[in-house]
Amino acid sequence: MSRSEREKQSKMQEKYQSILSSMLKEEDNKYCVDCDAKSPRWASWNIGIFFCIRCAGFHRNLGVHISKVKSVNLDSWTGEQIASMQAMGNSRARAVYEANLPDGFRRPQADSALEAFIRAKYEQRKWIAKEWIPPNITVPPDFLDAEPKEEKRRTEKKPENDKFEKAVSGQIPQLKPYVAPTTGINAVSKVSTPTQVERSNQDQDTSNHVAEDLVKLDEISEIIPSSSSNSDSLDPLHLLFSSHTYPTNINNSLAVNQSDTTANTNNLELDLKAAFSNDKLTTNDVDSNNTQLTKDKILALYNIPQSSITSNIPSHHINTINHLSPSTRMFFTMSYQYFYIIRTYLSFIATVMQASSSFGPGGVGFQSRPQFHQQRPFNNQSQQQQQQQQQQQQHAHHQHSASIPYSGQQTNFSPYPFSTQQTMYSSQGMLSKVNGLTSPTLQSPMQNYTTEQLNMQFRHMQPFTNGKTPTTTALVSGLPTLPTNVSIPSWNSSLPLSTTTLTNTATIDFWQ
Amino acid sequence: MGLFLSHLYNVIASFGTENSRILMLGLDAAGKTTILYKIKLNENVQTIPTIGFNVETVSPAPGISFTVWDVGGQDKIRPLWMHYFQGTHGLLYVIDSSDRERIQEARDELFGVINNENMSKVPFVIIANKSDLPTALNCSELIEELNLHSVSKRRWYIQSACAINGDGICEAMQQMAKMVKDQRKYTST
Repeated sequence: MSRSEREKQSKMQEKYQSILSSMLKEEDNKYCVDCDAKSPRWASWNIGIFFCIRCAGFHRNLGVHISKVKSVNLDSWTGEQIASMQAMGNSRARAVYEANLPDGFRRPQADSALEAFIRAKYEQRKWIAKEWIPPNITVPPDFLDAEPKEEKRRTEKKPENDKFEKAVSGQIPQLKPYVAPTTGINAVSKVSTPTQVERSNQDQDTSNHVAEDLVKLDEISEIIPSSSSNSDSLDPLHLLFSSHTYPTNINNSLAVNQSDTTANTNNLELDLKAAFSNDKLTTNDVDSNNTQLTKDKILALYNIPQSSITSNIPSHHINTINHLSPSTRMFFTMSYQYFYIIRTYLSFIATVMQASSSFGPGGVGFQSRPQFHQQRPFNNQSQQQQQQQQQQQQHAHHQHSASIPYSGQQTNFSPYPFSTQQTMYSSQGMLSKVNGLTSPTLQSPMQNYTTEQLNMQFRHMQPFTNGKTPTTTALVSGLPTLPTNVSIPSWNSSLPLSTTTLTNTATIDFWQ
Repeated sequence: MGLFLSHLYNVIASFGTENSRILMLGLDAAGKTTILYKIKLNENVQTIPTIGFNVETVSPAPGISFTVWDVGGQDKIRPLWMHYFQGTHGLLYVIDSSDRERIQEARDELFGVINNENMSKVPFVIIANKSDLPTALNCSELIEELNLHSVSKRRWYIQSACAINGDGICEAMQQMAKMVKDQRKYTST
């Protein structure tokens, strides 16, 4: 081995060591996964857990076909092993291997009992989450080189990114950009703290809910690109990894990617257009101003489908049509369109979830956990509030849309016939449809979904959060297999919402 | 009568047996410590990963007395093995025969040890541990994998074993004793 190779290798080892030591600083990794002893220095790299030296002895008894034990400090690691550790960690491993552990289970401390516990846990897999699919660990190619951390972070996401992209383009390519709003509401992880706060506000203070949503639509388009640095895909899974495994880099990347946001919003906008215009109107707005993104754009979205409904009239005729049709009627047509899009989008999400649950680097395919059926009280409350709120707003909308006449003074090429104010209201109306409060004139296929159920379903996508950080990561869940009338309470106490508002202790106990 | 005399000779000769210094090496989690205490106590002890070493004086068979040094096998403490080489009469090299992924690593470490000048004349016994596991390689496969045919001018032996139930351990130790004795005879003459 040449000298330079040796230097390179030692450099890599240093890097791995620093990754491992940063992992060990996470709250759940500070304690042995099996016996809760302090500061574990041993690991099973194929399971992805940290434990103490005593439990290391038991794990070695299991055999290498079950657990491959390594010392954090006394062994040299490979990139594959590090990737495997990063994909799991103690918190997730507990969620997987102790999913069905009875409440109030006391971890044995005596040698023989502890060994029996460990054997039952990993050998017989007595308490494992039934739906769990072991993640496919893809070793990032940069783990084989000595590169700075920033580099690694990107590659960590890459394989997954590709797969997701493939799934997206393979199935419902046009709806890809529409991932953005939902991730913003439910599944986006901690990358930006402002939205975090907003999200909790959203649930606590539902009076602002609908109005905020529109704003959020704007924000998401900026947040998503910043978190997934190089990718155009708005994949929530990126956030899972990037935020979870490289907590120190987030600020960095945010700062770096702030500059990219405008470019990315541009992409997003184009994607949105492409999605809804069936390639008829894409060229119209290519050079439109990026900074006044959303309200106008959203409006455009509402209009364009209608144009396709009315026998695909070219875009510069839209104004005429709008002018001729009464605004109320137009609203309903639009909202039906919008609603159809939402529905398609949801089914798309479902398919993507299904697809992604079978791969996914951290992609621990995870499904519902039917044993937790408590509902968090604040959700019910918020649902009621929301209902009231939305009823009011809907009411307001009808009045408003009737009272504001359409001013057809725009130029021919402008696809935004509505005023900004009107946009606000109409989109509020749409959102209330989405939330299950359909107006009687609409044939809504989504009536089964209540706000709570939708929220719950997406909140459920965060099962593997680290207990320490209030910021969470999104995970793939088995949405398709989930009956919609089953409410899935989140069972993780570390969710951003639950840290502030959750008083129901059933889920907290689970982590003790 | 002849049988009795030879037996008597063996017994008398065993009194003169010096205590041999045996070094037990191998990758981490191969089962070195378990084997050591299996020989010493004939018990299955619950071990923890060895940081540093264990040393025990054992007599696996009548007339055999070994001081067995069991040194931890973690990757980064393997360079410390060389400090135990001097004055060693025999090498016990323990392999987890079920760990197919690390057979090559085990081979590299083995050749690193036996090619050391302090170990150049030391006979070695390979204990293919954990042979009870379904994925375990058998001895002939291991000889291929470890490229043992390339070892010439050296006495070696490979013994399939299972430390938990004690299979093969005594055989390995007896073989060790025999080889150590032969080696001594060879070097003294």
